[in-house]
Amino acid sequence: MLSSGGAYTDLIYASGSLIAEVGGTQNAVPTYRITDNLGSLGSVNYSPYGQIFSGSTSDPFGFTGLQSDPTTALYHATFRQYSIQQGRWQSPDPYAGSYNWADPQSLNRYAYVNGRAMAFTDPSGKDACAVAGAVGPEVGAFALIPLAGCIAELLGGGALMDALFGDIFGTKFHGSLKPRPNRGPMSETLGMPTGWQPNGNLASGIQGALGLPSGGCEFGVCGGIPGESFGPGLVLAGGGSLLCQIAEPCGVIEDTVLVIGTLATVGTVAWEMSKGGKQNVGHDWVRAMARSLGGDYCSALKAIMQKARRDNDGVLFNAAKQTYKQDCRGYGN
Amino acid sequence: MIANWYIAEIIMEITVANDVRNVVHHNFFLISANSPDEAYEKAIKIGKESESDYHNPQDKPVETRFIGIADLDVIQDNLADGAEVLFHYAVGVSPEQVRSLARSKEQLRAFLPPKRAEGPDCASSEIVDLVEKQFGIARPSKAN
Repeated sequence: MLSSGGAYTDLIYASGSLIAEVGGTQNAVPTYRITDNLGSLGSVNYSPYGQIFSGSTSDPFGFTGLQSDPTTALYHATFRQYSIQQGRWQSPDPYAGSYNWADPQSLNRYAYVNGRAMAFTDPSGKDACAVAGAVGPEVGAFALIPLAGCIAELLGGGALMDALFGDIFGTKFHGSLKPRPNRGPMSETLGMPTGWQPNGNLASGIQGALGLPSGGCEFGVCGGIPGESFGPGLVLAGGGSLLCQIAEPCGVIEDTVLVIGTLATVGTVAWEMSKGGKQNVGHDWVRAMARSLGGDYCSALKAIMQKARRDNDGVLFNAAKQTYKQDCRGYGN
Repeated sequence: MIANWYIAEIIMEITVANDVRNVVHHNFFLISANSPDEAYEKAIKIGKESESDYHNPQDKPVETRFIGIADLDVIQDNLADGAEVLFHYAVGVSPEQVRSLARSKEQLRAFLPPKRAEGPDCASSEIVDLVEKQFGIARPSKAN
């Protein structure tokens, strides 16, 4: 970045967020940014929409990392400009995948993060991104946890989840959910369905139970149905419900958001995804999983076979294959 | 020219304890090899690795044993859409027999609905349980 004084400053980004600056030369000591959960400069108190309550700064990246333009008083996102005075974008959202008829607020193409400015940011200007670690009234219906980029980590106790998401978040699938899944109440909406509650203690709760490493390259939103608890292996046991939404780092690539929940929930969402009308999930294995989740016994067997093969588990593979032949392909001669 | 792809017909025999009926599978495997000998060795290895032991849902031991290689043939075409992988020929087939060889679309296996095999139950109880536990899908009844 070239400052007004003619000096260069290197900006260091990690996970889509500006984390440090190095002024002058490359050998200079980086200055790390202390930010709040929205990525806004911590030394300044901003309103949710970017107006300064108290404090001051000359830092052009003060509000959620968006670069301000002192001439126009606008903030630059990758695809459009945001006005903190108006609390809205100056041009409509260029991304058609960011709206949903079931979510009227999303039809306002000028709205900033769909009116949920305490829990979401939008570095790209295309769509709202959930903020890791956000807490407060705006996120009262859900909790946010950072994941380690590998959804397989989240699977922990459930082979289903392992089967479903381990592959999805492998290199084959990463970021290929475009356009984003439908923002139905149980799918892609950044938040929990009505009545869902956050897990109270992320460190020892969801995150701890599932063995999630702290920090990482993905962000997830997890929560559960009231009255149900999480624990090792309890994600699906006894009909336990967990919903997670996984997003790539804000501002880098479009979000990838998926749902983990009860079998019915997962099945419904995956099935909707598989039909391809609302989404474009170009992954045959996900389609197969969706079919199996929709109640297809034989597709479930095939999914187990595929997982066993991926895991190089010959014993399980042979047993699953034999079972598949026995129960699904019994045509004889 | 050295063929790279072969097709091996591997015979496996499955037996279920206390059931006099065996089940024989003719399994066809694609094999990539630089020579027939290498393909043969690979086919033997596949056959042996396909052996298994488990219990069926009635808790009876099920054994799958490799019997041998029924055939090993070269695939002449390059593997791609439309490649021919296997052929048989016969001489002196009557018109009726020829016509009976062709089936309607609905009778082709790819279009048939899932069907449980007749004979001894060779399914794995572990797998059936896994499907029910992890997918919430019970094993369909035999009359599926």
